[in-house]
Amino acid sequence: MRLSLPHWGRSPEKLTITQAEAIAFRVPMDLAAENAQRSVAPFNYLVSVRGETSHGVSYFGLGEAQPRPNQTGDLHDRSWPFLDDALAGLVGQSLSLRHPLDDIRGHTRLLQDAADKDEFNPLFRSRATIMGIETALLDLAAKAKGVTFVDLLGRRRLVTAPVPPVMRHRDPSKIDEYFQKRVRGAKTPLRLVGGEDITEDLEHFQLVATARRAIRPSAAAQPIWFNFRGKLAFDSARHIVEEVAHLAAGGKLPSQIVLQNLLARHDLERSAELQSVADSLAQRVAGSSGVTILPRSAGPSDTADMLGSEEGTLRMLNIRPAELGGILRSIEIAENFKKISPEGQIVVSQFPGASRVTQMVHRDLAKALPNARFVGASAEVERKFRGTRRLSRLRRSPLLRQGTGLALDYQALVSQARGRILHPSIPSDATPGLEPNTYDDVDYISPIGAYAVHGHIVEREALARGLNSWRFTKSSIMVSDTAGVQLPFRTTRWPLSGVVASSVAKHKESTRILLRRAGCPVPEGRTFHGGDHEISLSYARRIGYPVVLKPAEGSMGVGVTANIGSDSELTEALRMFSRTAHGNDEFIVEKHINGGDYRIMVIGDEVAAAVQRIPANVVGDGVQTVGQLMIEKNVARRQNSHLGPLKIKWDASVAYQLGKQGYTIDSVIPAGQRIYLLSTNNLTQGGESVEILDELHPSIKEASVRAVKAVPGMGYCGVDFLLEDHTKPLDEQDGAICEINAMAALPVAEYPVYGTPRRLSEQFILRCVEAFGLESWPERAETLNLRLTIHGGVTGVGYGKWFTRRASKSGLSGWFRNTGERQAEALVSGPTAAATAMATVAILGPPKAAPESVKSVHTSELPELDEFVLFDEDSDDRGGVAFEPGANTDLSDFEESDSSVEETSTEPEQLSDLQEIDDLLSPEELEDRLEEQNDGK
Amino acid sequence: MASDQVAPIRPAPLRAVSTGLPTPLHECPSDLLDGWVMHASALRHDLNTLLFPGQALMAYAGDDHTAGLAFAHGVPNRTWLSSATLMQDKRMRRDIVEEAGVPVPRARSFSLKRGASHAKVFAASIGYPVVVKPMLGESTVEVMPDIRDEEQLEQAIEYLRKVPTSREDFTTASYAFTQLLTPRSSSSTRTRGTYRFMVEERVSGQYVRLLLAEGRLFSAVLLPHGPWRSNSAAAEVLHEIHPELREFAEEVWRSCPGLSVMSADVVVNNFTESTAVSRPVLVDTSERPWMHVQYLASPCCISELGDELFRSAAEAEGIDLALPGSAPEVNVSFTWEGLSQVGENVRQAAAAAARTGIKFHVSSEDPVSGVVSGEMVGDPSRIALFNELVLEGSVLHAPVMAVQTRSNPGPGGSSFSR
Repeated sequence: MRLSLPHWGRSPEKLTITQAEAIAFRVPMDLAAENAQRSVAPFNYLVSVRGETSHGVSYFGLGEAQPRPNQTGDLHDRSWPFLDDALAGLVGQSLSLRHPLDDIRGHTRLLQDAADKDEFNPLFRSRATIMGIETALLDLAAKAKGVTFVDLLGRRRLVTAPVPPVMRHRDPSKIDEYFQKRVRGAKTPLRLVGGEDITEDLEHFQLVATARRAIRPSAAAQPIWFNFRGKLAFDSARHIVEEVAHLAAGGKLPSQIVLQNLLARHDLERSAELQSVADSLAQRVAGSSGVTILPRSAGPSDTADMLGSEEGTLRMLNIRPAELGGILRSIEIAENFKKISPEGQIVVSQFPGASRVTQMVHRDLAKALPNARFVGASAEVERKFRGTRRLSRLRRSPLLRQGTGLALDYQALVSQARGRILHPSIPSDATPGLEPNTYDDVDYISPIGAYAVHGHIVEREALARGLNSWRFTKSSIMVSDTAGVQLPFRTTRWPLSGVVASSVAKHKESTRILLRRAGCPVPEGRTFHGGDHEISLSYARRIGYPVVLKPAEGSMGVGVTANIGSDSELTEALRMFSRTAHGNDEFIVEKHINGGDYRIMVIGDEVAAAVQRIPANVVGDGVQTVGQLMIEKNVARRQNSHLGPLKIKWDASVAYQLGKQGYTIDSVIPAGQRIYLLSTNNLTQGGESVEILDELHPSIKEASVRAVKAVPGMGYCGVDFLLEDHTKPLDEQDGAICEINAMAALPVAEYPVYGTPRRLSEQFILRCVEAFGLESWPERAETLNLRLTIHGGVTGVGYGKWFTRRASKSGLSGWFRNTGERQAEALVSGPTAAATAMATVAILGPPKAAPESVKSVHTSELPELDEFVLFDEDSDDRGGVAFEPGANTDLSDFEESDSSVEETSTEPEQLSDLQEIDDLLSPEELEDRLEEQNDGK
Repeated sequence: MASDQVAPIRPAPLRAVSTGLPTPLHECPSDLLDGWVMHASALRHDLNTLLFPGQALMAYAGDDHTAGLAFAHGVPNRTWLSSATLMQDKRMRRDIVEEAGVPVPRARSFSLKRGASHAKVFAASIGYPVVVKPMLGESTVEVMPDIRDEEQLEQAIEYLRKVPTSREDFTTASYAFTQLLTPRSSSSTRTRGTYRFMVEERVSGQYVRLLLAEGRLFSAVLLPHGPWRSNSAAAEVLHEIHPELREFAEEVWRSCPGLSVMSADVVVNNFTESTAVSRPVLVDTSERPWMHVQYLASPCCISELGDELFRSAAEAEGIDLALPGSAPEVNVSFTWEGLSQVGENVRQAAAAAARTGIKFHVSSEDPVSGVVSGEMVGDPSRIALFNELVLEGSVLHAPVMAVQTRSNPGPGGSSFSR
């Protein structure tokens, strides 16, 4: 059966693969939710292959991989390089459109062989990754032939039923209510999910059946599925089957029952035997004909083993292609099952956390498999962001679409991409010597998150000098020496600045007046009150155009109009301003200064760093689209310890800025051409930093220091200078200080994209050591032994496992142990960057932890082993007192999960409601974010 | 509990302090009072001043505004920015003083998003009544000191769910770190879920506010109904407290590094007894003096206390100050910047000054740049409050952006006839 309308005329015989791309993204999920099973969200890979006919017509195919270590044999650290090699090998290969399935089967076999090479495990590895490639090739072939995905596979039916809905209520009144709300006469099965106690589960089962019979008698004969969440050994399972059969015979349960996921994984191969127990009961116990065993989905070997044996034959099979190793392999297994069990029913399922690609593929596969009765296909990722879009508005129906009918949607992927592969690779056009800086502490620092880097680097330098630290939040620490002198730091709020400095710097008009008194160059201007439009026009005439209009308070360039040249332009700008959120607020009219945006960092009375900030931009290569270039830039930026997570995002301003230059997200930019994506320089929005202190003209340094000295008690300051040329004297150019910032972010100079990194954090500590006479080490230590004492909600939530995994990954040695209900200790030994990052990251913990403080003290104790050890592992996960997950949780870290992560979540519905990342930011992070945004004006 | 018979749970209001002066100086918002007291002392010391929004005050002799003293809300600039910030995080502050051996009530912090049920469990475990307060922000403000049961706890949490900026008694220091206090969307009036609050054990006994500067105890005020509900019942007891309570105050001082002034609220069994008997517990502490309580206890002594604190800050900075002038009036030249409607503002200001007994004379006004200069002669406290309120925005129809005064000591310096 085929229903697609293939392309008119002769379809091409083959395609040559010209390009292969993969994008890794984190599956959005609420890791802090009570039922969350993970501490790190897994990656999915979107795979896209492009093929060309001999006539130069180009098509592309899309696939998605859901690598899940325990089920699909994909460990990101290995699967991602594997995918890289596989895609590299694919380019230049041909794909026959005459016999596409055979051809693709051939390709995937080669990949399976390659995946098996380094394995003694009988299961081939990277099965989900291989399925991602296979799906992309199938989609490519389908699109080139102009048929739907299912028609390429060989359609067996038009529609399939979704898996029955789940009823989760346990409260009797809620159960009654549930059935009362069901449509009268609806004849659909029902699914129930078990809890912790089997006896309670069986009572619940009967309660539901009784309620349904009473409230909706017409549905009473419909099967009920009961999911036991795969925890029983064979003998216990057998007992359940017997009990259920008797209850059904006694009329307490419906006659048709599906017992789902009854057997634990280790007894899975005895599923057919269990079915035969049920079958023989059906013969012995009148009225209990219909107990069907539906084992959990499994890998290829387990599935082959459980289909049937001498003891019996399975009647229902759950096929999850990513676990089995692909679409074509799933079809083979299904056909095999049909031979063994001609009446057997197939359920097609997928892992939760997928985009629409996976959803479409599973829906279509279910229409191609023999005896596929139910399909569970969902696209939870799309609730959070759209990784794909419909290829065509017209040909979007299940009968008319080409392939999956989907294309990559780069708009969201620009900021979601965590990794990216492109073949053939395009040689970098970067001018030699102008490559972005990379930082070797990035792997230690990145889990901390961009906003906590501020707080980390000062602690790092304190510890490196032999001082101890006591951390309370991502940004707050108390540093002390052995004599007990204590100094608090909250990022750049430090003991060498006074309260007044912060009050003054916060207010633009106070700053202007003070700096003008001190003879610093400030733009002539003043603040007006909402509605003072007439006076502001007179004022602009007096100071002379061009002028800038901006809100007195606020950030991010909202409501700012620059380069206003006349009364009429100012009138228009004021009219626009009154419509913004700042409409009735105070506003500033000041002289427009031409020039680039510089942040001059002053510590004490010395300029310690100078950073030029330029707007987010990409440089064309003649091949990639703007969207692809943006992803490439964002992924490369991940090598910056501070700016990595502060990506370029696709939004209306970027679209507007591109539009002004005549481009869209799909435009291919000529090689070597730089295009700016925003008009503002915010580093938080993908802007770039260039450290240029060595080139800074002395007159600019002198003016910067004078500005800082104009504010009493300002021990540290970021002076925002507008300059035409930072190498020229101030009096030879248009230049002025537009703002000063008491909380200017240190990492901006410490981790610049280009130029010389300056370790300002070290100067912070050295100046404090000198000013307060702290006892410290004369030299910065290269390695440290730290004793960490962690307080708060860290017991029973997998904190130790998480800590051990992170420490091991960072190459540290030492140990971790719980020492009380809300307390733990660790010894951390290794390179300063890694050990101190651990001291910072310890305040975060895994998603369900709530650490409240971490004390890091130097110790002479050395670890006994050259590895990191978790003591008393058993107590780490259990017995935890219920408490609230911590405020320090950071979802944006990108620590990779490993095979020790338990993945018991098998129900698509278990993916909790996704929430805005905003909600998960702690107040400190929000502040840091705000302060950083202010940095960029 | 018959909680339905009592008023809904909410913090005590931040009452403005009645000054007994004519309108518009008749009252001073309590969060401006510390700044006003220091400002007045600067004028009494014949110093020049610069005042900016956020009560950033510079007081200096001669022309160099960086060579004198500076205050924000009356907090001397010697207070480390990081220490002031630390004091505004009640969880962190609690750990630090506790580590130094100062007794504090049992407490834990919770978030609005997920913490309510955990807060109830914790409150039950330490036993009602409990104290509920925001975790971050101004100390003693928005404290709900007597939560008697779970229902009241729910009400207290419900109060905190109203977005801070629209709560009547919300205030924040100009040097405080920028919390994101707006709702998640413009249509919402709810606090963000990340907002945290503390649930604390309630300690019963006498509530005493101790005020220290540079390590010295300057005042001890008994507050029978806490810092915001005590009125005439507030009493200065500095000379009655047991010497060991004085030592306790100094111990609290040492536990919080980097503060120039500090107010420490302790609960004791009896402040006249030794600490072994009175068992002081530190229940709140702030980097701000919050002198409204001293004002309530003895309004006539506030200038004297202000001068003492002012001189203590000067001494710590190594600045020699002449003794404050004893003349009832001072003469200052002033400049206001950033006025909105100059002509109208000047008329308003002149009328207000006349009512309050300040001689007011404008010598120049520029409507385009919004700058007005002139002279004022009068009681230094009144001139200080007048300028504070002009800048705060309650005297003129819109606030000015900066106030500068220059002292004109001696009779010859004035353009007014005496």
